[in-house]
Amino acid sequence: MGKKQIKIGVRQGHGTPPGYKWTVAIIDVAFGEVMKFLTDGQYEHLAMQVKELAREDDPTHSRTASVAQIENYYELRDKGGILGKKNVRVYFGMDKLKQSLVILGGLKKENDGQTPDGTRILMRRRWRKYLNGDYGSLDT
Amino acid sequence: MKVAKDRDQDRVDTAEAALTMAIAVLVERIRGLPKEDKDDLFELSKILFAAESEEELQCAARAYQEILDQKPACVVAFETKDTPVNMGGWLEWISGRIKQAREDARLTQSELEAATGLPQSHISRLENGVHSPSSTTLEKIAAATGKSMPFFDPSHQDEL
Repeated sequence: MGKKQIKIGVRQGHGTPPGYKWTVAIIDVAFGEVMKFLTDGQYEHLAMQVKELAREDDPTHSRTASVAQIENYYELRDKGGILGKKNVRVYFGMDKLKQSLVILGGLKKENDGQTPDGTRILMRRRWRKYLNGDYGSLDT
Repeated sequence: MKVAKDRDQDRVDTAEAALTMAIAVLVERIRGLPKEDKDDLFELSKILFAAESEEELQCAARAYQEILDQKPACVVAFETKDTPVNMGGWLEWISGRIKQAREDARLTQSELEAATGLPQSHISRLENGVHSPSSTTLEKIAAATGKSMPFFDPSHQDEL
């Protein structure tokens, strides 16, 4: 019988030294959304990029990944490598009060172009609802 | 003949009634939305009609549906597994490529840090197969070591 997998959260102050500077949260619908187009290995790769962002003082100016601002939230862009021909975007907001990065959703794009307007509005809405407290919080 | 015509008319009437009902339900649902969601729907409607690609259309339709559905969602902890996920040999392969590129360019990890702006600790974790590099990271290493992207990226191998 295999060893049981334990899931580990990304929390500010935890992780291998110097540790995470940000806690990472995810909107539950975002997880199902990205798993529709990612393999487990590809998800792990993107999870590593997110964890790397959580190690940075300012994740919006990452030295290791491509991060761009969209309205009042951000997108992490990646492609190639283990992602193969997929051009993937991960959207997140920065809750500075809770020192948290909040994953809002993801998209497999057909090309290198900018985020489609429909997705831009959808992620803006999710971020707004998070800030309004409609999704609750990690503390509750 | 007359019976068939009546049947066709019945079908048209039923379809019209169903459409009228669907529109009434939609209007009622939109009326009950928060103002900000209504504003988003208005913006999305313009995008739906102006969409020039299938991707734009699908993204707008997905957003439209999520707003109309008003399904509850919640924020949860972002979790990863404590033992490495099988990445199909990717980590072993790419860590070897990065180390080989650095050594071919006769650079130390510190010199590669200076040339790329990537922290030395990050480079070390890449070479030890602990972290999977982003495309941005690989582009920086490729530029600093004089290698082409296909050297690091199987998805570019056809460019070799």
